[in-house]
Amino acid sequence: MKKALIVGASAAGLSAAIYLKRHAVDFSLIAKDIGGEMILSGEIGNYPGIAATTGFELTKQFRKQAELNQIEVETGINVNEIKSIANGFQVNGQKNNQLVQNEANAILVATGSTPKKLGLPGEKEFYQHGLSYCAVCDGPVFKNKNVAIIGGGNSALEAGLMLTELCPQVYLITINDALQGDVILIRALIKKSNVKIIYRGQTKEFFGENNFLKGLAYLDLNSGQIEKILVDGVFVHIGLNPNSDLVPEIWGIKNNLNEIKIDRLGQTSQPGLFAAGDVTDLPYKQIGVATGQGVIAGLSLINFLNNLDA
Amino acid sequence: MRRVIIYSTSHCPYCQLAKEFLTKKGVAFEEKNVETDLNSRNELIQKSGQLAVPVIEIDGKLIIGFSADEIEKALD
Repeated sequence: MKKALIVGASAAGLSAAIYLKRHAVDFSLIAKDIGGEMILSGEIGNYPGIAATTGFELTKQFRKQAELNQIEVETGINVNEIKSIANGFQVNGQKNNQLVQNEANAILVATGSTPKKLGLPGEKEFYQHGLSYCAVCDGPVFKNKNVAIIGGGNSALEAGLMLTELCPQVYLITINDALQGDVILIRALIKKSNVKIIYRGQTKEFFGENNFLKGLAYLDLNSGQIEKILVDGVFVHIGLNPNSDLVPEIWGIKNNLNEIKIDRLGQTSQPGLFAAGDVTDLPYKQIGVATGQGVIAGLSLINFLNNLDA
Repeated sequence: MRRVIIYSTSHCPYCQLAKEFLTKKGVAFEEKNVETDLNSRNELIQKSGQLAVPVIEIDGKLIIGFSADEIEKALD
C-alpha cells in the first residue's frame, strides 16, 4: 500500500504531485491523460506569472516540471471506483480493458471535468460529423464554412473569437438574456462584424444529410417560434460536468451538481480523502485556481499522513 | 517501412501530442493540414467520414483521435 495516490494529471493533480515529491511522500499518480481540459484551452492570458500562453504550451510546462521532479505519471487509466478499506482506500480502474488496482492511505481526487452535452436529437449522430465540443481542436476544419456556437460563457466566447477569424458567418446562440464570462471577451466578440448573437435561443435539435450536419433548430423564447439555421459546423460550449463518478454516493460528499464538497484545506468529510480543481465545489473553474487548490490539498494530505505516523 | 499520415490542423492539441509521440518513437510521418489544404480536408472526409482531427492513418488503418495505445498496436 502506498502512502498516497493522486488521481488526475492536470493543473490540480500535477501541482499537488510536486509538493508530495518534494516532501518525499511515497505516492503514485494515475490519470486518463496529462492536461485534461487544460490542454484544450486556446489562448491563455489570465494565468498569473505567464504573460501569454496556450493550453498546450502550459500543459507542456506542467509536464516538464513533473519530469524535472522525477514524477512518474501512469496514463491511460480510467478510474471508476474508490472503496474504503482498512487503513485507507482501494482505487479501481481500467487500462486497455485490464483492471488496474491501487491502494493508498490517502487519496487526492483531481479528475477535473468534461464538457456538458445537450442531450438533444441529432447530437450523438452528428458528433465528429459536424458537431464538436472543442473549437480549438476542430474549429479550423470548418475554415470558410458557416458555423454556430451554443453557449454564452467564456469557452463559447473564446470559440467565437477563434471562429470569426476562420469562418464567414458565426452564429452564437445563448439561452440567456445576456452573455456571461469575461467582459474583455464579450467586448471583443460583439465588435466582430461576422458574428450574429442570438439571445434567448433554446437549441432543440441538429439535422443533416448523408451523415453530415447541415444545421440546427432553436426555439426563439421571445416569439415562441422554432427557427432554423443552416451551418456546416456546430460547437457546443455550455459548461462542464465534474468527473466525480468514482466517488460513491453513499459517502454523501457530493453536492447537487455532483461536485465533491471540500473545506478550505481541500479535505472532504471522508478522512484521508482530498479533492482539488474543477471536480470540487469551489465555483471558479480556472487553471490558476486549480493549481492553487492542488498545492493546498497536497499540503493538507502531507499533514494528514504526518498525523497518521505521529 | 510503415506509411503514417496525420490529418491535422495547425493548433489542435491532440494533433501535436500525436506528432510528439511519433517523433519520440522515431516514426516518420506525413502531415496533412486540413486547415490549409482543401484537398487534404476532402481526403480526410472521404477516408474517415469525419470532420474532426487528428485522424492517424497507419498502413491504411485509421485511428480517430489521439490514443498512444492504439498507435502502438497499429505500429506493432
